[in-house]
Amino acid sequence: MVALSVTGCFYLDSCVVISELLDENKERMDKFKRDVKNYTISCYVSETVINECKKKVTKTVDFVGNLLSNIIAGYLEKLGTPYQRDLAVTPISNDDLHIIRTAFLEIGSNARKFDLFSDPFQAVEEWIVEKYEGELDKAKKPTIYSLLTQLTAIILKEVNSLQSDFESLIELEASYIVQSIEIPDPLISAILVNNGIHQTDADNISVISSHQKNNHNKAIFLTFDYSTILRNWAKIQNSNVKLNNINCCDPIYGLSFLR
Amino acid sequence: MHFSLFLYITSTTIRQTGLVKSELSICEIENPSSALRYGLLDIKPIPYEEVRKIKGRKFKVSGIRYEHEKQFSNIDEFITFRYNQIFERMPIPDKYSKEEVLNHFLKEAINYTKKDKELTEEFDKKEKSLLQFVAFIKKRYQEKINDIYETEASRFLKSNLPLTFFSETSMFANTYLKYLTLVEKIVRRHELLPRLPSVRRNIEKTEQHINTMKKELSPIIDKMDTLTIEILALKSYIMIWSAQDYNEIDEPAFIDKEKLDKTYFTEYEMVYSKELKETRKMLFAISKKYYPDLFTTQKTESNPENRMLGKLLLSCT
Repeated sequence: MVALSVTGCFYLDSCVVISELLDENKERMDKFKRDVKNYTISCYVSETVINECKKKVTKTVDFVGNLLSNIIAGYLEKLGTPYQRDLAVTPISNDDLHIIRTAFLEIGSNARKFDLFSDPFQAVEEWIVEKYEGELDKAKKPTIYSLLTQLTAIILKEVNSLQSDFESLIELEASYIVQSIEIPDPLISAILVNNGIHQTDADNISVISSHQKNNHNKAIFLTFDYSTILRNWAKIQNSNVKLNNINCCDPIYGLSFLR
Repeated sequence: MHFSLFLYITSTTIRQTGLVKSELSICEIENPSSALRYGLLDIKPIPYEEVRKIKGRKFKVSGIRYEHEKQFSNIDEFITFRYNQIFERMPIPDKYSKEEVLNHFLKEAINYTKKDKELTEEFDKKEKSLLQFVAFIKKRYQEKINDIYETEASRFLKSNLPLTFFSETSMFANTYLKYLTLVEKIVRRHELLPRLPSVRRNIEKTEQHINTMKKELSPIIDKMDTLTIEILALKSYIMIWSAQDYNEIDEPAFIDKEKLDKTYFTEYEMVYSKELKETRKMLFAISKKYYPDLFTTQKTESNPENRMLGKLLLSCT
């Protein structure tokens, strides 16, 4: 196919970068990447997005670490009861699954929505139960401590692989994404924050304004964030004339803004 | 008291007394690194002629083998040199003498290498093939990688440092494997040339190829050695300061960040992270010439961990 020429470029939000790394939102990402390839469109990530991605990884890793080391281990040790156990010598058993069930029902219960799609606790719960059951079916059962060590080691290895891929994709620019040198536009950021956009997202979007001013070239902000950005974008854009030239959309519509 | 905080304090207290699987000693980090420097950089090609008995008949065999240059007479000297570098700048708790601690780690590292019969044999074999030597080091590292991750995991479970700290230190293993893969590619390319029949008996040409190889390898091995020293320094610092007494120095029952001096700890951590980043950047740059796929993203088949991390990352605000 001979592509018609399009002018402009894309700026990617952290959720797009993460989708690329973890093969999430596959159909949408595939369509977007086809557009980038067929029309030779430059794709940038701003420093603010890079930092946001790193913060998300840190937050996620420490969240899992805290659950494994403090919450799960604490419950399995039966802390605060007369039946405290030494995890290093106690083999895993089916009863542990009921302790884990209680842990996940109780932990942070006041602040959680218990929504199976977005509750991070439940994502970890599904994983731990699956792993635990896998080991319970084996003839030789490990100790609880040994299983927790194995689970943590698997997470460390997976996180290292994710960090390595992030480094290749973004920091070493080994694929189609390039780091942008543009910085956030404080005026645009402030307008966006006044319209209910979080500061981090506002900074990420306002880099579009800096890019357009400094390069006289159209830039589109691509995101999968429907809840706070995309669903409200038309309303936000109409609220201030300074936002007229700033466009945010789902990656599958990016090309339509550059034609 | 917040519930999770309560759990944390009590569970860590209990785990301090728990019996856990023995962890890999930190001198295992150092071992392959010294071996590579000793085995690849400090060598020179020497022509030889000898008589070998093959099926009862004597044959004169000639060729080129690699011998060690005289800078360091043996691998112990390398190890001593390296540990001196680490300990000369490290603060040591008053309850220990610096010399004692240094000697302890030196003894551990040297004994570890000496007990390693396989490695000693490979040092001798290396005179026949440098490539085999690197492949041997890489194979062993690959076999050990799960133990390395489990050791990091076990240390995390016995500590109050965040998991991100251990993901950063375990990134050393990911980097080391990439490094060994690249070194293998470089040695393969440079060792194959002198093995061509026209070159095999020509000591000058062999020397030329080996010198080119050493020139290419030297900055990478130097860089990886610096990174190895930094990770060793960071880990030794944590171990020494977390240990209750001298007997615990290799494997403290609990790694307590409260026992670490914040300034030193931050500095060790920052220097290591900076070196890690620079080393990976260098490996990436050199890989373009020898193995462009070295940093290709490893998007593995979807697995439960991957799916969980994906959910967490995409729901993270």
